[in-house]
Order: sequence, then C-alpha cells, then structure tokens
Amino acid sequence: MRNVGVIGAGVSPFGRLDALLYQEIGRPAVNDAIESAGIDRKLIQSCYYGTCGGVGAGHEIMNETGLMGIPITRVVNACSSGSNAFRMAYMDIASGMSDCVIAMGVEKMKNVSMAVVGGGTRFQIEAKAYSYGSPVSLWAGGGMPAGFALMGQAHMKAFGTKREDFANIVVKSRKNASKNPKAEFQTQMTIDEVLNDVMVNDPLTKSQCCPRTDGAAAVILMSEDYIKDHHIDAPVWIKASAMGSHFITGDPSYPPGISTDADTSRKVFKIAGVEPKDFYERGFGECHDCFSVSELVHYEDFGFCKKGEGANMINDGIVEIDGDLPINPSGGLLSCGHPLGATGTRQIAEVFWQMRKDKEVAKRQVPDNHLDIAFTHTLGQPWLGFTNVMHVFSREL
Amino acid sequence: MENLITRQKVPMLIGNRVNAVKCNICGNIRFPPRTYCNKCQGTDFSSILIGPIGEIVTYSTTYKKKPKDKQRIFGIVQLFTEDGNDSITLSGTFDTENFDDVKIGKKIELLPNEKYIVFKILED
Repeated sequence: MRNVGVIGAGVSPFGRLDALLYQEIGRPAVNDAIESAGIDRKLIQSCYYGTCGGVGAGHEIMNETGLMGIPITRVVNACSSGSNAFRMAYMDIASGMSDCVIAMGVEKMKNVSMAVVGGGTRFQIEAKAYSYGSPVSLWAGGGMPAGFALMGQAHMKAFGTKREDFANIVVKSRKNASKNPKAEFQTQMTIDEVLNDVMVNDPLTKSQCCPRTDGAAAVILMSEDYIKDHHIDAPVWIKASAMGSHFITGDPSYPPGISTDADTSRKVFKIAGVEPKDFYERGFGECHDCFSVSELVHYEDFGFCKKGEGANMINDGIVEIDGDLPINPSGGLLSCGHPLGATGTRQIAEVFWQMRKDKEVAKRQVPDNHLDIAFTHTLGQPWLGFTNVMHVFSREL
Repeated sequence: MENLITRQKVPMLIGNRVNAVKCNICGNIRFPPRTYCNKCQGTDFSSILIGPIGEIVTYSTTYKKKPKDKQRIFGIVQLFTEDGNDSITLSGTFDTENFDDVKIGKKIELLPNEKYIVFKILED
C-alpha cells in the first residue's frame, strides 16, 4: 500500500437547490478543490463520486470541469456514498493504479427516493419478514427518525439519559454552524427552542433530525510520490480507512447504540495506530449526526467514553470546538444538512481545512493542539443493513 | 443560489441559426450558452451564430409508437457557420416521414422553430 494524501477540497453551499442542475451544484466544489490543491487539472486521472439519485451526475460535472475522458465511477451506498467514493479513490492510489484522483459527492434530494436508500413497500415487506422472532422492532414503517427515536428511548431507559442531553447536541451543532457560511442552518438555537420544536418521533423533535439538503463536495487525493514530485505543501495524510456492515436488526446483545460503529472504529483506530484517548490529547472528528441521538451514541460506540456516559460528553463541553475532543466543528449533518452522496466528502473537506488552518474555517478553527489527528465517520443504511465508513487522518506521515 | 446558475436566458435560435458562444481563450463552442467554458473554465466569450446549412451525420426512426403518432425521423447533423470555419453537432428531427429522403452526408437546413430543432432536407 502506498501513502496517500489529501491535497485539496471544495464544498458548494448546502441548501434547497431545486433550481440548479447537478453540474451547477458540483462544478464550484470541483473547481474549488482543484484551486486549493494548486495543481493543473490535467493531473487528475480518475473520479469516484457518491450519489444516490444523480445517475450520470458525475459525467455531467466532469464534462463541465474539463475532466471528461478520465474513468468516472458512481458509488451508491446510502448515506455512506460520499465516504465510500473517497475510500475507493484512496484504494485506487494506494494500489498503485493512479496517482491523482478526485473523490466527489453530489445530491439533489428531491431525486432521492427512500425506496432507494431505505423504505419503500417491497423493502418494508422484506424487512418485516426478517423481523419475526427478532427482539428488535423494525421501526414499524416509521422511517429513519423512528429508528433513532427507538434507540433514544432505549438509551434513556438503560442509562437515565435525558431529553435535554440529546437537545444539547443540537445547541452545540447550531453554535458551530453559525460560523459556517456553507451550512443550511446558520442560526443558533436554545435548548428550549429545540425541546419545544415540532415533535417528530419522541424524543426527537424536528431540529434533532438532519434536513434533506442538496449540495456537493469534492476532495483531491494524491500519491506520496506525486506530492513530492509536484511540491505540494502540507498534505493531510490518510492513516487508515475501514468499513463495516451489519444487518438491520443489529446485535441484540449490544447496549442501545450501533455495534458496527464500535467494530469499525476499533478497526480503523488499530490500522492508524491510535487509541480513542489519543483524540482527547491531540485530535478531533466529524461524525454522522443524522439525529441528535446518533451523535450521542457515537461518542460511546467509538470508545470516547463508557457506554451510557455519552451525555457527559455534551453536557461537560468536551465535544465543543474548544473542548477536550472537538466533534463536528462544521455543525455536522444536523446543521450543514445531509445530501446523502456529498456528506462523506464534506466531512473530509472539513478535516482538510481544519488541519491546514484554512481561511474557510477561520471562525470555527479547532485549536492547534488538536490538529495532529482526525477521524471521519458516516453511517449508511441501505434499508436492510448498516454500512459505515471511517477514516483517520494525520498531518504527519 | 442565483449566482450558481450558469445557464443564460437567451433564445436558443435566432431565426434559422443556432445562438451559441465561442470561448475567446480556447475556441471551444458552447451550445446552449453557459457563463463559462467547459474545456478551459474561461469566461471570455464572443457570440456566434451557427447555421442554417449542415450535413446529416446519422439518423433513425422509432417504429414502436402509438398509432396516432407521426413517424418521426430523428438524427444528428453537423451545422456550419456561414464562413465554414466553425461547426457544432446538433440533434433534432427531419421534416419528412419518408425514410428514403434521409441519407448520411445529405445537406440540410435548420428551420426557424421556437420549440423544437427541425431540419429540412435539401435537394442534391
């Protein structure tokens, strides 16, 4: 395996972009990524792009950015599509096949049917068939919020977690996103506003559910040899990539949370040669906070605290930008929004900018002592399964 | 969001000619016009009218249609500027239902039409 670095990143403004074409959403992200890398676009040899609804969107965007002719591969893996595209770009270079690859994600959510990523009559019938005899309800047709609401209720019962604990995650998310001009929601919220918002699935109010958002994000990856040959300054090195999967029923013996997150985080941290405690001392991360409940259980599943102690992470300010372990300095999915195919690459762009102390994140800059290592995490749910993708990055090779 | 829209609100045809733009940096022709060149990403353009005369590149027709629908023959043509220095390829339908009228290499003329691209087959 060859060493691979991230050398450029670009993100289009996230929001409801119905009036725009895929090419109009994706082109600014690609051009910004190339510009920040400071390379001639002719160096790019391959493209992997994540999207659930954008059939051919990658070809359209590559044609509009002067990159047509290179191999273009569409990656569809629910909410992990973007991070999966990045992983494939990494593998392409690490294997020696390419030296410079673009990983991109783009989504127009009105073109994404939940029948594609989860839900839909046929899938529900299959899911119900699998649920017989299982101790875990298969969400009774309530969709994504229902699943995480069930997890939240179970967490409250098992560990005494309070509604306020979940709501505080949104308060932190909105505070960070108020410094992110590319986030869909940039207004701050109080805990009362979060708790008194429209109830979706108890305990999740509307602002505790990430919005369906349109957007695009792109990152440029390069081999160590090319980085040296082309005199690229301060790449962000990929230390590890790992992926996990589990059937929708999860592991019934696992406490409220996501067992495959725990498995995948152990795997990716081991490959990178780090432990959860290292992030307290010198790291930060972007995780898949599709709902307030999910971010809280991720703290526990990644081993940043004991199971059942996730509430302390948010209530004690540990996961704030100036805390001991900053999580989601961008505002995460709850505030940036969640264009399924673009979320993974958007997270990696945030890590890249933070580690390079880029002007993009000047107002939400993670402190210097936390910029040595970083992780990203997405949790996809292609209905009958979980699929998650994690990466660890470092400023040092 | 408005500043991300790159489509230009201009008529597709002016009379019987295509309303395109030509990049002043690399010479790439864009139709329909955009605010940038997709080859070199430049934004310096000149207007260029292309047509009305062109040449058939390929054609076909669809037989699986509703009985009341016309037998439309469609194809791709290469359309030239009047000085013959520039051209674009353009798809549209031909103003005939007779397959024998259409041949690769035959000359065509673009017809003025606000909704569709329609080509008239010219006599040899």
